[in-house]
Amino acid sequence: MAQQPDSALVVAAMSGDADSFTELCRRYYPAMVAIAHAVLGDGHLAEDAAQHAFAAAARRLPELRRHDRFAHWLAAICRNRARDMARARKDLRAADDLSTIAAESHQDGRTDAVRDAIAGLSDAARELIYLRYYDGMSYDQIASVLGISEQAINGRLRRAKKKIAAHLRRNGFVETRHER
Amino acid sequence: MNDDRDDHRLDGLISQAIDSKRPVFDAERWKQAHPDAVDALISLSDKGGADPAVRRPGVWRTLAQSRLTQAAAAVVLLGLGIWVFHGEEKPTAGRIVSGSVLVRSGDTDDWTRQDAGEGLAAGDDLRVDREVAVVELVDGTKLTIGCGTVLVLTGGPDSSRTGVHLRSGVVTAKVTKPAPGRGAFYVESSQGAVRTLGTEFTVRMADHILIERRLAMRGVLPIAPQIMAVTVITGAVELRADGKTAVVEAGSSGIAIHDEVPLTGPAAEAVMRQLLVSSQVTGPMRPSLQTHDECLATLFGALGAGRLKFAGSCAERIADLWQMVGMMTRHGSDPTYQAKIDQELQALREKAGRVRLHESRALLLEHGEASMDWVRGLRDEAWVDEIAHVFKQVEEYGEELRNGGRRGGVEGSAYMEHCLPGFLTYCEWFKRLPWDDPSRKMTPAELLAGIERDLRIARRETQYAQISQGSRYPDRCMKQARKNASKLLERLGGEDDPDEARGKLCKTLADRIDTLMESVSDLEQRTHKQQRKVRDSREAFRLATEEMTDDGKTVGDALAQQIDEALETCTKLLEEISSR
Repeated sequence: MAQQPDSALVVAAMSGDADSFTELCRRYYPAMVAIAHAVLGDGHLAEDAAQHAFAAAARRLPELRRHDRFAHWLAAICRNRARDMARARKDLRAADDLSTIAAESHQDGRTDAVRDAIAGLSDAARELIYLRYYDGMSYDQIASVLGISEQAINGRLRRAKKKIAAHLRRNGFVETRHER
Repeated sequence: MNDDRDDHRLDGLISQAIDSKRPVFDAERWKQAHPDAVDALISLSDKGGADPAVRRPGVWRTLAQSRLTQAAAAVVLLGLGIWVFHGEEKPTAGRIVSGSVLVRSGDTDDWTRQDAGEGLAAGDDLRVDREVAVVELVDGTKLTIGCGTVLVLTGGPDSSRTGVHLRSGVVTAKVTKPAPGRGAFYVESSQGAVRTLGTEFTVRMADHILIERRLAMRGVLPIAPQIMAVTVITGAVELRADGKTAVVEAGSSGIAIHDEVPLTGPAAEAVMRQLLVSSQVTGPMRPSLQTHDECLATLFGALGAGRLKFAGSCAERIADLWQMVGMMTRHGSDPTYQAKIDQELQALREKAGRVRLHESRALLLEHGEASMDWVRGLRDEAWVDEIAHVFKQVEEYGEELRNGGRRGGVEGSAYMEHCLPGFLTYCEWFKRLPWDDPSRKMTPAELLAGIERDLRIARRETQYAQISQGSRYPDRCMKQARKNASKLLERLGGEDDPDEARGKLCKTLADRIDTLMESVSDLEQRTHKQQRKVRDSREAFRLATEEMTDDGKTVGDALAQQIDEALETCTKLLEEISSR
């Protein structure tokens, strides 16, 4: 089952095969947690959000028209669940959490500065960074989840990293030269 | 070379900053935490699934092609035919004992009326529109379904569990002990689930409740679009929401809101009382206004229907105030209007202090204060275009506020939250206008700030669906952004001057906003379509944003991306303006 393509698993799940659905969940769990983490800034909450998203997706599976876009559809649901959770806690900005983590972990100043920089990115850029570095996904995998081309991912990642590098320079960490 | 090394170093820094372990999905735990989702999946096989070719594994397809199997199937079909011919009912999930029920089966949109004695299948949507109906399920559970209730039977005779999905209204369940091998009866809803522990209980869904709960861990939850309340008559039930469970014993109540820990005990009782108060109140206002605030509901209950207008007059008074401000723009500066506005604001502040509107009160007070300052700042010689623009804005916001106030308190509160910061921004602009030079127009930077603000609100609304009218609000923001963009284009010289980078950028921005208008109109249509399926307009808006476009993106993502691009252009334009 693990080798089956998404669309085959989706069709089987749509026929009532719960195992196929859980295989899809297993496949996309890290990515969904990464997406939720980018919104919530908390790993445990992100896992909750991903699991709620799977439950919502299971209930709404008959609405999915394009089986090959399951991951993208799931990502949209997960993002919304995470935003709902963030809104309910009046804590939408991941920056707060990231700075809290920074304070708790007593990392060196550069790590904190990177966290600050990530928190200051746009939602989409932060999500991309999390998918790439949290889950270690390839461009190809990220493309299937976000529904954008690999070139676009490359461009966005480059821009995001440039911003992070610029932030580091502004804060006195001069080794990185991305902003040139 | 150095760049590559820097790149790797930065990769390392980011990985270190994010620093997380790869999460592992525990399917069994997920299934236990979300039995309703698993049931929903399993029930798909009852409905026939998506593709018969894939539904069966290969071995079954092979068997289906063998002659022996075909002969056996013929015998089975003959047997089934005889069974049906002898007048046995189709496999049912239950039957109507008394009353009549509107039933919608499978994929059809048609409702058919069924009366006592008729069978009901698993997956049927039931709507009770006359008095009360009693339905007996296959496992002997008796459901007393209140008028106006909509629910779905989610478990059939072949399913391991029997239950209902309650969409709205109220249902009382008298549950029998489940047969060996069958799970406990359950009632689920969008907010949570109730699993019986051998009991009789009532579950009620209520729309648009504003609950202010100061839970130590969670801060304040301002608006819950729907709430699930259970009252246990005998035995006990397990109430589940947000993956947490709580046992509710006989004689007490519990409340579930989808992403909150279930409420039980006195806190739940308080909310239940609020529901009862609201259901007893009649009058010109919709129940949503009556129930949006615990204090307001109590106040209404105490005052009685005849005096409802008193409590609701805040919204009316604000609307009157806006109207008066609008009159000033049309009829020039009239000292009597200023005096009247002062008087209205004073009255509003006093009233806001008396009517306990929780968060709204603070907003009203803040608004009153700012408005007072603003009115005091008015001067005769200040009637320039910008003032007319500001007043037009105020009038539009006032209109939204008035509509929101009339439709219901939740919408009203949401509108206040959105309108007032905007109003205050305009007040700020008003103060900054160069009153000594009436010929001067609003600066490009101020216009651009207006565009940015409207785009951001549109984006926020698209993402979070905060206002129940959904797509209407982004639409209005876009219109305003377009208006400001055209003014800005005019101010910057537009595309006529090819050397002006800012003119070009402004033209790009105006084009992007035009495209956005089309997307918002598409979103509006999708929302209307969804609204035919779900009652809650906010939910309809959310579902519309989750739909897929032809190029494989969700509508919300596509729109948010377009808005982001427009905002990026705004930033570039601002840099361009500032650099000159």
